[in-house]
Amino acid sequence: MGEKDDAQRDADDQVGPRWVRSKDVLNQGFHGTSLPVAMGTAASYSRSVKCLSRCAGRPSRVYYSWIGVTLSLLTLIVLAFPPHAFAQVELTWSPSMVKGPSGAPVTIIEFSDYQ
Amino acid sequence: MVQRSLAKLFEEYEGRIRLVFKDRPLSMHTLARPAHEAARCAGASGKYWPYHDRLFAEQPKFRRGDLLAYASELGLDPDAFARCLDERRFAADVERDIEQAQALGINSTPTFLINGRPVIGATSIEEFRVAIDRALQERR
Repeated sequence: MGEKDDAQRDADDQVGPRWVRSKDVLNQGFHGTSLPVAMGTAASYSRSVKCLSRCAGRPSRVYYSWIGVTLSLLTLIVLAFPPHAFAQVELTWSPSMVKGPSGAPVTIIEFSDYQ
Repeated sequence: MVQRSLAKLFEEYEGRIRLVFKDRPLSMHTLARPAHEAARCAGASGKYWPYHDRLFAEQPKFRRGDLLAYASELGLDPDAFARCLDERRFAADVERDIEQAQALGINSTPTFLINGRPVIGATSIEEFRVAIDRALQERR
């Protein structure tokens, strides 16, 4: 009986509201085809999502939508603040710690630890 | 190893390379910070690079007595050097370098910026050559 309910709910989910579809497109832009392919197909929902969906009484698509939105936001944050934003810091140094001509075309800055 | 590579590259690309050393003592290396401060004390007397080379050659022997001995062997005034070291005259400068490194996300050593392009880790001399040649081409 539970299986039938799932099948019915998943089939219903395919006729989702318009905004969910537009988010799918957004996700496709950032994550390739992995998420949208998984969405909207009854067999593609994982057992845990189905269980969660059944317990909370919400369609599986809702959870996938939230996962998609969260991943999109994380992607935007990573793109906006890369871990090595080397160009953003002004470096200063002591003249005694520089070797080579000041007009040299290549400057190698070494961050090192004597120990 | 990396220091030897850099010295060789400095000869190979004579006049085309400028090398800047920035202090990035890692917090887990308890003897590193005094060594970095000592090198700056030597720098104040015009002996930064000989002292720098000596520290890399002798690592990790960086007790106070060792640091004073290296200074003495390089002909630095032992009393003036000891005062500089004990007063921690260059502690703030070392700290500034650490803050700049952290702001750049540099948490491992050695890390190099070759015309701003990061090269992380103990890189081979061949990899350095590739990075330097690319930087030279970009400047043409």
